[in-house]
Amino acid sequence: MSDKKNTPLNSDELSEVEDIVTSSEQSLPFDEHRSLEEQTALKTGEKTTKSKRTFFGVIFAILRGLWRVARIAMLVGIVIGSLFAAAYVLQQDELVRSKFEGKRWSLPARVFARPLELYEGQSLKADDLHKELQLLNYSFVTHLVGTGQFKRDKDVFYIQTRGFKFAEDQEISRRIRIDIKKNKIVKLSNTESKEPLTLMRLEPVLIGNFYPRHNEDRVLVRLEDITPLLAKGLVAVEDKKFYGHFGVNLKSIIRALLANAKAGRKVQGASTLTQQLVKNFFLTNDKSYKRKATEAIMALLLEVHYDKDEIIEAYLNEIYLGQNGKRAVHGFGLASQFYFNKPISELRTEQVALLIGIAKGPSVYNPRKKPNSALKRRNLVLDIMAREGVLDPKDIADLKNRPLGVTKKSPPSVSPFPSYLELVKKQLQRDYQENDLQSEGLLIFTSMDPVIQIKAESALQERLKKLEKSRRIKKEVLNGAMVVSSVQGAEVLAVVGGRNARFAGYNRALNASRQVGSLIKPAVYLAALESGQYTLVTPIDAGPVTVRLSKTKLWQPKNYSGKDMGMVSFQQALIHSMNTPTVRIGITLGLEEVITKLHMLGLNKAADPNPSLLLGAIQLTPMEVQQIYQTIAAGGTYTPLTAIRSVMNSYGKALRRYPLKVKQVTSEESIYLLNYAMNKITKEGTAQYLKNALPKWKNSAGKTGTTNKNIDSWYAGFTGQHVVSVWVGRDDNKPTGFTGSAGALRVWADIVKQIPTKPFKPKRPRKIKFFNVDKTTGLLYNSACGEADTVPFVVGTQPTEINECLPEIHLEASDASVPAWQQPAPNTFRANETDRMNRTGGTPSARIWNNKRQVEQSRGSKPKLKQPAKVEDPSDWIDKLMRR
Amino acid sequence: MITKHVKRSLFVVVFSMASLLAGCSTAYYEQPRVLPVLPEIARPKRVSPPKKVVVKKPLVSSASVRRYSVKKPKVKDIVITQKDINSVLLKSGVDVENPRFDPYAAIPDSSSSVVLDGGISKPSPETIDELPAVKSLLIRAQADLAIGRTSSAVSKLERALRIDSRNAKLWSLLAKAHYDQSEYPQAISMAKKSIRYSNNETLIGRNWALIKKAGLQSSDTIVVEEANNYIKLNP
Repeated sequence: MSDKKNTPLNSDELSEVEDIVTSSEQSLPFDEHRSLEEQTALKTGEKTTKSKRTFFGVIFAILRGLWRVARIAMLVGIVIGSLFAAAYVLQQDELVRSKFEGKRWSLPARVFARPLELYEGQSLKADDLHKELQLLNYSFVTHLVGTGQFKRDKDVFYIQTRGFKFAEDQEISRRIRIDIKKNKIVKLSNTESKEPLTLMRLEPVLIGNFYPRHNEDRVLVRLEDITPLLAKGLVAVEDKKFYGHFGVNLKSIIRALLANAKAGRKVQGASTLTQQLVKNFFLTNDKSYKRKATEAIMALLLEVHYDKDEIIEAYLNEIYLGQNGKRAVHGFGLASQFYFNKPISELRTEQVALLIGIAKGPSVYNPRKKPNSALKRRNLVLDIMAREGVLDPKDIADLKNRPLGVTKKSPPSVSPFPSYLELVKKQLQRDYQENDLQSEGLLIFTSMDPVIQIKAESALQERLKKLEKSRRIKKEVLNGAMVVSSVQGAEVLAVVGGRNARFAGYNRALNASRQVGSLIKPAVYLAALESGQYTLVTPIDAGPVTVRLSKTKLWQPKNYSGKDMGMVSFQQALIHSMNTPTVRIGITLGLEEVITKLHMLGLNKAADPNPSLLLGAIQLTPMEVQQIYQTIAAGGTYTPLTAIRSVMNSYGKALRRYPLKVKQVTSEESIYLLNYAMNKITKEGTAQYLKNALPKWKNSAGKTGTTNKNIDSWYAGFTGQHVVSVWVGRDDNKPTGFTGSAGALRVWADIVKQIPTKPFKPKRPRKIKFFNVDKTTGLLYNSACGEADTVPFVVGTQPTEINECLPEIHLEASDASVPAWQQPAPNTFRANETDRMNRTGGTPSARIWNNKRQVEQSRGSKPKLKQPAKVEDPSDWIDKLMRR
Repeated sequence: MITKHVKRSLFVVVFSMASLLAGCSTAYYEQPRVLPVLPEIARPKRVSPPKKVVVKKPLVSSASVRRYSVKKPKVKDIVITQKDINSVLLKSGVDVENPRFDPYAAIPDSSSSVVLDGGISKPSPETIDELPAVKSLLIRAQADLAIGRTSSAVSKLERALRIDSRNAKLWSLLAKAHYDQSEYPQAISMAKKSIRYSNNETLIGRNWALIKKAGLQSSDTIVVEEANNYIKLNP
């Protein structure tokens, strides 16, 4: 048989080229036998001419002298030559052994998603499980026969898993049954054995590779893992005498030589499998006799050192079998994935035959492009296999009639999840060299949830389309980004870098720094709660505020509505995302305090100590926002966001784990209070859209963010299990017309609606107690009047004064034509100076404001003024805070 | 002569304008210095006469004010002493504090428990602890820890935490694993997390004991003191 071998780069041209086969003897440089014969012939000649003693005698004498010299020279030559030859062989030997025993191939790193955990009680939608199985290329069948197949009767799944080797343990191949009811696994059982099955994992979905530079890709297979049919068929077709020869098949060489001489051109090759392997492994593809000779020597050496199985295993993994985009498909392991989208162990007989056939010329017999010639070749291979006794001849007719079974489209040559992969790479680069990633065949286990990832991608895409339609914006103008992570482990589950998620373009989730607007506010309020100067009901002035930035510069932020909101409570200010109270709180507290808090929450970037920071004049990427909200969601424990769980080498040894790290950065009481208010945002505040958009059990907390002129629309929020940050905006930084709640919040609701999650239900710390306070004044509730509101307080900070009910006020009110009880309820935000006066200053009532500390402070002839936080440099941005 | 007059009048004009400007500017610059620093508390100090008028007007005539003042305590002429407050507090103390209140109690755990809400039973958070999957991982992790395979135990515990992130036992065991690996700050953080999610006093006690040990190892005096305080109160 011939041995057409191709290199990946010019396969078309080379597939038609036959190898030249010559006998090794012909190319030997020295031929001492012949010269010895000559010598003996010359000697006899000398004897016959001795008697003549004439002119010839002289010549003979000279010749004899010359011969002596030549003889010595020849001996020296032979010795030196054989020394050189030995050295050469030794050198080749060294090369062969080092290559064969060391790292044979540079293997790309493979990146896997999280394995899907299966256990009773797991929240899992039947359709999501179906999708996961499809991503794993399981085939949907009516009867389970082999691994990688599943059967579904509505909400009951029967799966024959493939099993997977993880670093610590192994999931064996099992036949299982899963019953899903109301989006939960209610029963998980092993159908083949009686053993109880409490917990198992499906194998992880491959989400991408880090390819080596020379673009060779392969999936290593071991001989014991593959069907014996493949090795047998390969031997039958390519090198019948493989198990009999010693690397070079002299008989077939001679036969090939004769055949070629007869035809006058190369019609037949005689390379053995070993020779083919050697050629691909060590040598270039040039067609010289020298190369042939080296090939033969190396083949012999290989056979000396290694047994046949090792050689054929190397051959199975080395051979070139196709081209996927820029990448060359090497080895039967990857070829099986490439052509049939299945691991090699799941291939049918005729599919194995096709792969063997393709080996002769991957472009000539490309089953996708040239199905007819591929079919012919496959049937020829089947015939040969039957003739050689590998297959039962009775089956051949049936096998020949089967279709090729190749998938229509080749699997994507680039990852379908480029955004997530970029995050993985970023994290890996801290610990690994680029080169190691591309050649060591590392297995990287990430925390990506492919189902959530796909849902997040489509949620963003669909919602952006709707938003554009609703405002008649030109199509494809809006863009967005999203990050989803788990609350407790801070594991990144999905990253959407833009609208077109399949396209590895600009990754907005990691790289687009945008102003965050009100998203920053929770940090301000958390710092305030942490300082102990505020409770959730502390009254704050929501009127206009002026901050002096320098001698000539004033900053006068306004509320989003532009109105004076009167006096509001601390929590109301956050719930309705008011600007002026936030500025007051932040300035009173001191910017340094707020910035420190931001850093503790996980901001890894210098923040400019400018008062406008309080309203979000800082540019952050969605990933950075995610980190801050992650800490808030996890009850104030900072855990760095991570995408990678562990890295394993190609031998199944865990190289590195990325263990969970937690660090409490705020008191659990203040974070509880903050979360309480942020939960209210979703009930009655800027995100109350969620109240109707999500089912009641999907309780969450979060914060909207909108920047000037509605350029950026943000929403970051969390349930009990997932943290999600969404940004919506335009790449050209132009206004979109969407506030945080009109844009990003909608995307957020869309994704949270779809994923199974746990409700946000923080556990009440021991030091937190709930008190009934009056809704308007924030004083303790007096059952005689007003409306009660149950608010959490850190024990000891609750108001000590009781709300007062004054009959005279009722009298005063009754002057009006409408009775008091029929009058509209007072607005919580009264933009009216009287209200403000009554609630804070001018009157003695100012003293009875809720906080005990404040009461004590104000007891004296004059109410003491609280000093603002000290500013280090007096000449800095703020001279004094003043009110208009 | 004319020019002299012109000059003089010009001078006067310029001077007067300058003084006006100066007056304005000084007034402008002085203002902030007079003003209080803190808006909320600062305001009473700065009740200027014109504003007083503005303030009083609506009190008397504006209909809107009357409307608002329905529920608003007009406390102008009432002074409450601490005694009064305390007596009232004592009387209505039961009403005011709401110790059992949990704003999140009414929220079902999942869509399926919404359905169950109607009649049968609602799975309480405690039942989640009993998930056999978590239990089996916990047992295997304990076994790993016992024979010193700490990193294997850690990975099992983390796997279990992914299933149930609020399991105090898991956090406690994870803290112990980190303690065994001499990662004391991590051990402390995780033990505290366990305390937060736990209602079981013995488990809490065990956690504090571990915190104390880890605190001593890492010479974290604050943590040791915290732990001592707890141990003193709960011998």
